[in-house]
Amino acid sequence: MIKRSPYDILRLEGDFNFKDIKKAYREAIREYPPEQNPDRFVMISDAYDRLTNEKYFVQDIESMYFALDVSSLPEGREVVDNSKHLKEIFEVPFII
Amino acid sequence: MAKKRKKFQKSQLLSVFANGNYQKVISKIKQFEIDGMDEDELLKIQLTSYEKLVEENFQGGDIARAIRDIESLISISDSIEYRLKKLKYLCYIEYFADAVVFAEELILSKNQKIKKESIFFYLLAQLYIGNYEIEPKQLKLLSATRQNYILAMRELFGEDKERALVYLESCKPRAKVEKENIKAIKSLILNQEMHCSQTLKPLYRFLLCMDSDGLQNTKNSRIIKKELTAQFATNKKERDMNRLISLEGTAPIESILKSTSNKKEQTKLIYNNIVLVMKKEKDPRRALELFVKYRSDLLELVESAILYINIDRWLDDMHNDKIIMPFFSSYLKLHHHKLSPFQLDYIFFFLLTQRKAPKYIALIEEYGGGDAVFLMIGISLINSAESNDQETFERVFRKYSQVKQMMTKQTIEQIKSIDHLYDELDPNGEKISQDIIYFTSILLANLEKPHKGYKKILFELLSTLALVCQSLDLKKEQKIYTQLSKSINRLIEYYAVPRVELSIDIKALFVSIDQKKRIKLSILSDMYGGHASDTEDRYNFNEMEYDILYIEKDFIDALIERKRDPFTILKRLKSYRYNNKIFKLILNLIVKTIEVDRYSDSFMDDLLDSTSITLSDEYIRGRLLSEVKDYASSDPNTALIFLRYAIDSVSPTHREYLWYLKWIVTYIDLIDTHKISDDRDFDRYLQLYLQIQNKKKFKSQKATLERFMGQFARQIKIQGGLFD
Repeated sequence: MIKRSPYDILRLEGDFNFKDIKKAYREAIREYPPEQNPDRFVMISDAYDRLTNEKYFVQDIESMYFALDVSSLPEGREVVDNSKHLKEIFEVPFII
Repeated sequence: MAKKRKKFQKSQLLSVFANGNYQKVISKIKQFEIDGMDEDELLKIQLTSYEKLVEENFQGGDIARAIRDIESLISISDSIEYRLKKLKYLCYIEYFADAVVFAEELILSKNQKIKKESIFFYLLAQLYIGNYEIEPKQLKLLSATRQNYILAMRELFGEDKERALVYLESCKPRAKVEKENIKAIKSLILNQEMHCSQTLKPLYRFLLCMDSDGLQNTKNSRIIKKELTAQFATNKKERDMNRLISLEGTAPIESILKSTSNKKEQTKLIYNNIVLVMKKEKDPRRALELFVKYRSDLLELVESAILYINIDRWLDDMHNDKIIMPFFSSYLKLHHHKLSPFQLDYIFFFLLTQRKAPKYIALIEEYGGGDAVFLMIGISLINSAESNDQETFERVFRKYSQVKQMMTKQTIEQIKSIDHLYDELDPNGEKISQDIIYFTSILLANLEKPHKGYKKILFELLSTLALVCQSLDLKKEQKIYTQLSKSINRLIEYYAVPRVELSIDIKALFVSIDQKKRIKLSILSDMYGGHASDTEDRYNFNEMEYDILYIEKDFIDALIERKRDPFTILKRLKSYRYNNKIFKLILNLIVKTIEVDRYSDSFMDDLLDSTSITLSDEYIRGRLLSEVKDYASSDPNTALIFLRYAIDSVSPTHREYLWYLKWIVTYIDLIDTHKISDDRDFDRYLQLYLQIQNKKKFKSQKATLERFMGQFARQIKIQGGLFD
């Protein structure tokens, strides 16, 4: 499984500073209190550890690839209806 | 007079027919008079050839030719089956009005099968020309499945997909392929994906998967094919993009660039795509290609450096300094303040591992990587031990960092490489190597408080220095040997490392200094792929003996100090319990314990327990006597103490064995040989011997018994003539 970028999880964007990571972590926890969001808390803590704890960083960095958050669908997607062509080209479903 | 037609031999025609070239058969029949073939035969071969051609053309999607051939067939033999086939083909070629007219005659057929089949195509042709009124009487003549299909098609023409689906649900043909076709129609109506098997009818396969094999070549199909080809490409792009977004697979870069006009999103998608090229496609070359192409965009992402490093790791042959230097230079400028010190170190480690050019060093130093440069470059160039070097060394090793440890490991590998090259070095190279050992040793000796986490790596460094040191002439370079051993001793003391746990290279260095001669490494073993560094054959000395010696020394120290438990030290002997020096060691320890007045009844129990030696072990038992006799030649009293312990440790129920008698005989003989007059156990053991031998009557002990009877007649008599 490809994990989400820890920076994305902690919503660290633009020109932040290393010290901002802790701030971002605290904000994330405030927004998603651990007792109400245990899974999310694990994710947030993992992201924080990867950015601030050398042990976590080194343990699997050589095989670790992170994916970045992107918007869910490409622009201008159309729903295609191919069934209309059943009326334009003759065919029967039976063996004839 | 009519011109006479040329002749074609029957055999030739049959040969063409047998080869399946039916078009040629038809053309030969038209062109020639077939010699030797009667009219019936000729008609039969002509009809079969046309039938085959009709089928071939229809299957291949050439409906125009199929129609032409069926008409030729009808012109030769006007059968109702051929007419029915023509009706079907008229539908496929989309001549629905003609089909309706053509069917009117066929639906009156008295042949029920022909009638039903004609009605089915007649009703369908009506639908396709826009006549949705269905004659119920005609419909009822059809099977329920076909009725439902026609009704479903009528709803589809009326744009009522839901009702069409209801009818299709009731459309239950028996044949598997027909069921699959119905399912395909439903999937098309519902706009669902479906696996396209080759048995699906061509139109459904085409509409679902763009596979146009066997699709009839008609005016409509040509137009739709063109339309769908363009649409399918778009769909594919969308599918690829969806796969990329859901991290299931990669997408072509062109699709990514067209999917969004937002530059930032484009870059993120390209980044994810590269990640997927690495993770799913395992293609680092392609990943690097993409990274290099879009590096100026990727540079904006703080994640990009680690991604690059992880790609580069797979590609030893593709380092591109022209790209790496500007990329990391810009990356550090943009992102260095966002990174933790260990992340920066990790980048420096990567850059210094392969690249030692001054521009890299300058870049790393600019971003605070001076320590990394010293560790990975400075040590291999060291020619003095300045105070600032010592400060750097101290700073590096005081606070534990795994990345710094990785750097040290890299430096160790560099130093290790000197071992292989030393004999080929010029004087300058030799000097550099000597400086590395000497000055690094000084730095190590002066380390004040290295972190405990560095214990392993520092000893690995010391071990490597010891290994390379043995390449130097001990007499000429005694100063280096001495300095290194001083450094090792300093860190042994600091980390309280038991000497037996030292590496063989360090042990060899100590032995080398003790014996005042270089213990040469078995270079040949290294050169020919041996793993000499892990084995004793690296040096011409026995590592076990060295270890046993140190354990003995350490045990005696602990015994004298009375601060440590000496038996804990002996636990290290566990793996050496079958070594031929072990008895000597035990006997030496007994001597020492007696000397320092620490010997007690429980001493031997503790001694053997802690070394995991059991006297019931057959191997130990087998060797005990020869070792004891050997030791007794110089120290009979200690040998007797040990043998006495051994004899008494055997429980009374396990004494009636030959080996046990031999122990007693050895004891008695040692007393006699060394003329020990006042041994408290002599009489007891003599009596024990007589008792056991009297009972067991071992043949091999007959002579010994007779000897004892003569030699110790007086003692035996005193004991009351136990022996008859």
